[in-house]
Amino acid sequence: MKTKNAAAGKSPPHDSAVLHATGEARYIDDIPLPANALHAAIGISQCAHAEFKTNLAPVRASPGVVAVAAAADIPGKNEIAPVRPGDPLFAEKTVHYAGQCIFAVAAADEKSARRAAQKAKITYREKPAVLTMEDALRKKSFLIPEKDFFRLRRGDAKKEITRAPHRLRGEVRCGAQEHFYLEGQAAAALPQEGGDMLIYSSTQHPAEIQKLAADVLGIAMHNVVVQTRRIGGGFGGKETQAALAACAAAVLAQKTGRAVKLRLPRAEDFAVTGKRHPFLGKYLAGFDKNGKILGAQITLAADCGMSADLSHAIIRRAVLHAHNAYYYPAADITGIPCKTNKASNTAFRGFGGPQGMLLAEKMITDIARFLGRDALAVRRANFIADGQRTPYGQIVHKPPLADIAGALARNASYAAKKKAAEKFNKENKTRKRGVALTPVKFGISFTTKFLNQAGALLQIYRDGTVALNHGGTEMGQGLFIKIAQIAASVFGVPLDCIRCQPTNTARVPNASATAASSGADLNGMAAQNAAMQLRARIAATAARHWKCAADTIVFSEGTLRCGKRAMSFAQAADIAHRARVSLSAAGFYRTPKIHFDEKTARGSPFYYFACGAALVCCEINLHTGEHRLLSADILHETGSSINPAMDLGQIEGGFAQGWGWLSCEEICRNEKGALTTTGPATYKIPTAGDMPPHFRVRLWKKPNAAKTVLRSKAVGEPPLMLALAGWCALADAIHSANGDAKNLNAPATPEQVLSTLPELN
Amino acid sequence: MAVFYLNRESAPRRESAAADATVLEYLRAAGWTGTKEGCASGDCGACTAVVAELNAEGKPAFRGFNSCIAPMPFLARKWLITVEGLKQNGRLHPAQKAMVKAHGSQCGFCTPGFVMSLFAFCKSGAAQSEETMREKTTAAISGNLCRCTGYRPILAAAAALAKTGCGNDGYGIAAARKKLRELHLLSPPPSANDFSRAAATAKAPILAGGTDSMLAVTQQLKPMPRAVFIGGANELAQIKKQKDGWHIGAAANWESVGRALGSALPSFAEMLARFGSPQIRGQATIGGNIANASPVADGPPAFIVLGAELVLRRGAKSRRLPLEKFFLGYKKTALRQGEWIETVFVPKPARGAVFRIYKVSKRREDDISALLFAFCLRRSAEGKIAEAKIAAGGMAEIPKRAKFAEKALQGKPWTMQTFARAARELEKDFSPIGDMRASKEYRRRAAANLFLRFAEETARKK
Repeated sequence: MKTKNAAAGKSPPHDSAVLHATGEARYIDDIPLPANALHAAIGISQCAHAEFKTNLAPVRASPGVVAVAAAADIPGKNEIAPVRPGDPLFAEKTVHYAGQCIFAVAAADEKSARRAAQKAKITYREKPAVLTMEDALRKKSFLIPEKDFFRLRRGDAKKEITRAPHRLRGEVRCGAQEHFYLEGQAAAALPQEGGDMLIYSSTQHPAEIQKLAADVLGIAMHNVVVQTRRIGGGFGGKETQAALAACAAAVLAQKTGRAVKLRLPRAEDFAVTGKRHPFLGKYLAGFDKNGKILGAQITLAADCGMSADLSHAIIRRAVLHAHNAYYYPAADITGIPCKTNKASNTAFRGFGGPQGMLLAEKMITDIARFLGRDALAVRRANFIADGQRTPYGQIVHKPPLADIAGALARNASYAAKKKAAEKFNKENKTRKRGVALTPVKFGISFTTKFLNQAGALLQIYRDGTVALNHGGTEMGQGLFIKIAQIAASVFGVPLDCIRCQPTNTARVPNASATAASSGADLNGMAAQNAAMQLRARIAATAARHWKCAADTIVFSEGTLRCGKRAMSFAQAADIAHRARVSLSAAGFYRTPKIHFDEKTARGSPFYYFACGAALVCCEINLHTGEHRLLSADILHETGSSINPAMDLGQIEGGFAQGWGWLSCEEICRNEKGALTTTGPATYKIPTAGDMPPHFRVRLWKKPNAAKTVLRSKAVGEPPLMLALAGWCALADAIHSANGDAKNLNAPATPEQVLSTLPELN
Repeated sequence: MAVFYLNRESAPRRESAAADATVLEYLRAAGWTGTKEGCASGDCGACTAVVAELNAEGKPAFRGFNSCIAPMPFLARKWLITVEGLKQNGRLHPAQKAMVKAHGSQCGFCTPGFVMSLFAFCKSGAAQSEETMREKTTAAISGNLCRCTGYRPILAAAAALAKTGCGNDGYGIAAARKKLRELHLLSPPPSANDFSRAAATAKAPILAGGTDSMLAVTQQLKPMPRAVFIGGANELAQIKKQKDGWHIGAAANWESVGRALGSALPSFAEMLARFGSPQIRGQATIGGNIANASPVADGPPAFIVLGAELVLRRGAKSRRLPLEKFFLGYKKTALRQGEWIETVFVPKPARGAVFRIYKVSKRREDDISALLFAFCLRRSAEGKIAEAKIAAGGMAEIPKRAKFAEKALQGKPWTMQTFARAARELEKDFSPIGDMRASKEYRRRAAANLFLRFAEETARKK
């Protein structure tokens, strides 16, 4: 049997595009709840590190209040950590960061709940707090003993560096980044009969919410159902951080027997949840006269905040990406997990990769400057080539880096842009332009092996329509439409025949988080697997009906054909049902071939790599350090794209988010460790005006050599790091202004840029 | 009591809500959940809805606003249009169609707000030519944050919509005129006298656009059961251009101030394009910007160097006060109990005056200034500096003149050296603080460099 006129490869709109545009798409806060539903608010710590005592009587007495819950009210475990314990739902005795949740209150309406929460009397006995990475490094405040730091070694880096013709030392820091999903953290918990709990959660990981809520409530996982139809942006910020709202709502719902909704106001969302890890990266590099790196010693210190959360995996990915697209013959790379009194920093698109790759691009930029060579030439000299191994020993097969960089440099006129910038810089004293072309090579797979699995549940109804369930969550990336396209391609039916169901833990169990760019790769394969099982069953039924061979049946345009005979897909479904053939199938997928030994830091943790490159021009103003992007040209790999429009959206959006991280998004705190940037008034993510007037993205569509679903490539995270070209372009412009680009950090705010520039006059 | 129309409803609604009830809360409580809360501070645009209102000239006009910080009384005599009101007979509005076609939504949470900004953009004349298309579409969505798309497809949707127009969507000018006139008859706007009486006796805060005052309500949950609402008084929103300058009613919003002053003061118009967002500029008033006495308000420094005066009124009595003398200390003004700003008089710059404003912020669009400098210098016949007025925001606890620097410029040749020397005097004029917008060192250095920028931009001109 085979399928014709596949839906995959086309660009139908997002499955909810119309609902988005009409406002009919429901997010947590839009779901109608029972009339007696309660609304919750939380009380948070004002101190970064302190023992505390609470008097919650004024909260209980506040108008409209129905219930209050603190640590002592938790029937099960007071723990919502994903991997290693350390993240209580409600703080007990000691708070470890300003913003830590201490209690929650449920009231008749949201304002009453929030006003009640303000009335708590909390007294603190302050303890010394570690508020900066420098302080943590000085005091050796780490999450784990130094001997257990993740360290990756190849060859004798020290010796190679000593022997190299040139040596250079440098460092770069990058700040925290707030996810700023437009829909804040939110959940609604609805008690069911027999002590069961139904939770609507804005999460990237419903299965973990199910597990944690069950633990917190002291019930079994099969007593909890978590459903997520869509989330208003996640970016990693709702992988582990969604648990607080869901579990606090569940505790209050269980306590009151009434539905409880908890939606964090933006300022609390900022204060309570973790951000992208700030990093301080240092390198010592040895290289030859062409800039070819011979050895590199690198340390990547990460500000993890008060607990582990996902920090170890994030640091691992940072270390594994500290070579970006380059070949280091000898390397010694160490990750340092600093423990500080801040919200536990967490997953954020790229998951440590961006921080590792920033260090690599910084090193290349410095080397090119040191040698007085064109930075692109130095990058090319270092590109990892076919058959070479990454520092952790994975063989890289035919990486398209040189091809992509070459095509981009040619098509977007790298040389002409460089020349134009030089001319401009000669003619202008107080404005300077910079140009950079940087590559991206990003490893695809969870580095924690067991997470690389997915399930799906497909059901065909008697009218020939299909209900599609899988474990992935829709957060805007277009996962649902892509998987619908995959399923439609198997059945040869029109797309509207497939209905994506809300992600629900009762339909597909134990799903991994929709993270690590893996959503379509894993869930798409599982759905395809389920669809193929069903197609085989239907083909067999039709073959019996027609008395022909099953493998001669063609599925196309909603019809099954065998020679001159034809029936609609709906008829076939009905016939199968009458023939007592199951029209429900569970699909499963696990990524093959991957393995990694964490102890030796050796293995092939990634099923494949996704590559791309960006060419960016920028202009800086020497009076104020203000800058803007003039152009961005991007060429990025999608494999055989399942939906080019969705992939384009991921690439453009990833670039924008990366540029925000590198240019204007700055998290600030006061001397007590509390945030002073608490919302969009003070924390500035890019607006339309920050995007370059010339912004052109092209897809590199060569089919994936790895056997992925329809030979596509993951596209969620890798494009974020294309924005490194913008940061390197700034460094280029700073150099043209006789500035000290070696001291450029991220975010490169106007102030940061001005600090690298010489005084005028 | 606010009397207003909602979407395609055939009868006006009458709601008597407290001043601290927001339009967004009202909509969502009624089950109209298409309009979203992203920040409750007027910064992200997810809550954007549109109103049609009669402007100061009595003409119907459409504009987007942040429903999350708009108090309910604001709806008086307006036609409120939300994302739910766009579909007609089950068919998508052209603004919605354009977004779907351009793949303008991903997670979709910000999308209703963008759709409403596109709708307002289309209704306000949109872009006329391809050359200005990018600039106009970018400006139209500068008050809406999207975290997913990178904006390119939304700009494309806006450009496509500018070409197709809104079509016969039931929200035409004639329909708006009819409805708004009806509302004005049902609930006549207060006169200046009514307002003055209320301000003197009410013992409640005066609320104009509320774009700053409402943050105390939505962020700190401070109650504000009553307010004297100046926003709906058309008489107080008049802008009269006369020989001596502009007489601007305190309730005039920034969009209309920009339209009035922009052609004569292009530097002001440039600054204004980065002042708040379209939603904020349509809502916030010149009077509110001054009375609020924020040290980082972008209006006052510009008006101070132009020599603006205020007409302050209490009951039937008025007095005039130079704007510069209005600010007494941090958030402290010369307003007496029951007194309010009625008019802002902005004199026309003298012949030969060179006027520039430089706004410096972390982000280009919709960001509060780290610092802002306004320069108004007059050149003598001999090419010297005949007069220098310079004022800054973000450098002190009030919008403040740079008197030492001005003195160093007075009578000196108009050269880079003169300005560089004057910039050194800034140490005496200001001791800025450091905060999340900028460190004090940055404020100092950038301030001095703005003198050089001014010199560079103006020195060569004869």
